[in-house]
Amino acid sequence: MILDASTFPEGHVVRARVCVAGSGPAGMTLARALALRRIDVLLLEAGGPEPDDASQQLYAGRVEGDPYFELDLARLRCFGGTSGHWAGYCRPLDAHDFLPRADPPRPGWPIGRADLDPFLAAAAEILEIPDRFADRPVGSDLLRTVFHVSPPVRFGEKYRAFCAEDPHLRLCLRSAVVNLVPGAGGIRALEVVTEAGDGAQRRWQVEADDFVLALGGIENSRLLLWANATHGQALIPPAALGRYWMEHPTFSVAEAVVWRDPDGLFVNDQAFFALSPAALERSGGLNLSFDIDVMAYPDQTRALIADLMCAAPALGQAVMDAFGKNLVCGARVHAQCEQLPDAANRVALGEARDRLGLPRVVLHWRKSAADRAGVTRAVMALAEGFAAAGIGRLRLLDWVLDDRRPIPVDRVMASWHHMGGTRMGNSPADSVVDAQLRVHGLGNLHLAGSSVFPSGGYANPTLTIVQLSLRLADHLATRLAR
Amino acid sequence: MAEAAGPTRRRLLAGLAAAGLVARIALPRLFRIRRRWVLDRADR
Repeated sequence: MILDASTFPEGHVVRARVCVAGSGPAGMTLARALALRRIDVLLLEAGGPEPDDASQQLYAGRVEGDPYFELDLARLRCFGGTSGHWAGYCRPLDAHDFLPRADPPRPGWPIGRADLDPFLAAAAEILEIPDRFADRPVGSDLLRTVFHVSPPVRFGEKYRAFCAEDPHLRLCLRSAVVNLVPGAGGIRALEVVTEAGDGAQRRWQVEADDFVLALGGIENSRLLLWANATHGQALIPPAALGRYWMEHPTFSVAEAVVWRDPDGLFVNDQAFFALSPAALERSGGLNLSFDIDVMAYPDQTRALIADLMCAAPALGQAVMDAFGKNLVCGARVHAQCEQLPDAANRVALGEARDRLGLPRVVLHWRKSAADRAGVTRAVMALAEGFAAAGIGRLRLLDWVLDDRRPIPVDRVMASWHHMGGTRMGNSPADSVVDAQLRVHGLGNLHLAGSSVFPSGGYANPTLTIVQLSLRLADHLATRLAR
Repeated sequence: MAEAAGPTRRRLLAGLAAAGLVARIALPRLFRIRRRWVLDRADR
């Protein structure tokens, strides 16, 4: 059922068993899973049914540090959330992504891959992808990895009819959570503002047994920081709040000559590789995905092979001969990288306010020297693995070979993946939520989405987000049944 | 007026110039190219 919140009188109170704020992959998955269990859910979406400029404007913010995307372009504030413009790449985190590491330092997750595996099939069904990821060893140090590509599922389109018709779910669009109302041992209510078409604002509240914020990898931190600023620092554990924010930096790292193998190395002229767990351990543990894309034009490959002939004349001549028989291709190698969690990378509140009265976001984000060193080591491991396995040879870009050289601006960016800020852990001293995604110290406030990731691996986060929401639905259903 | 170089001296100077070019430009370039490629020992 869709409620028109713009008709609510000022100060109106809506009551629900569970209130979920945010209708992106995290919130929609959770709300639907609860409704399917006949649990009364109120789903709040800050934006309208489709993206619009007035709504996106509320996501504008400032980035300090490395170049990054405009914050109002990097996510969508509308029904279905950022699934409205995602590319669809899916892969679960690897088992070792959940483990702690001493050097470079990384906390473990309080859960392991085995805790999320039971939700893989259901998550894959939601995202309309196969649920098997059959990575293939290549030599001793490499894996040819599998990503599945969702159509991509737009959660707003896919579940619009469900939200309109399901008797256990109520949806309010254009209803932004602007603060928390504390109660005894938890949250008593959420303060909500609904903007009517004429710009008039209605302030109302939601009371519920349980609340889940699924506002996104930046907005979860923003709202909780604002709650602490208005209610005192004790409400949400402040030590890690907003901090340890991560992306998946992407780099152009190399070019390659690659033998076109008969058993399908490339799919649509693209192949993905990662280091095997043993090679990953030797290279320092930063997990990376290498995306090998076949060069579009033969002249590019010919020039690359001519260069190889200078370095290794006999090999170069053999490769040139093979290229003439279409047995070899040139390729570009890009890396999508795990970023080390760093307390200095954080979501903060700026001085400027948006029209709902919330402080604008200031995102502090930099890639560290340790991030770069991890990339360099992993690229070397990939190059040596390629040569050892006889797949091809890599020509490294100059910035990879010389860490004093700045990375050219056209060789580096990020993946639109927002992780951390409210990370999961066992202690409020260094995390915000516990293993069940419950905010430490608050009995009935949970968080969903990639803001809870303590580390990000390299896998695109949406599949993990959906798995976590399905797991949270199980947990909440069990709680409510008591 | 400088004394004109004989044929032997000219060849010597040309050889030195060529060697200089090789040392200053060609060899570093070749080393850079070789450094960029990650090769198997048997490739060289």
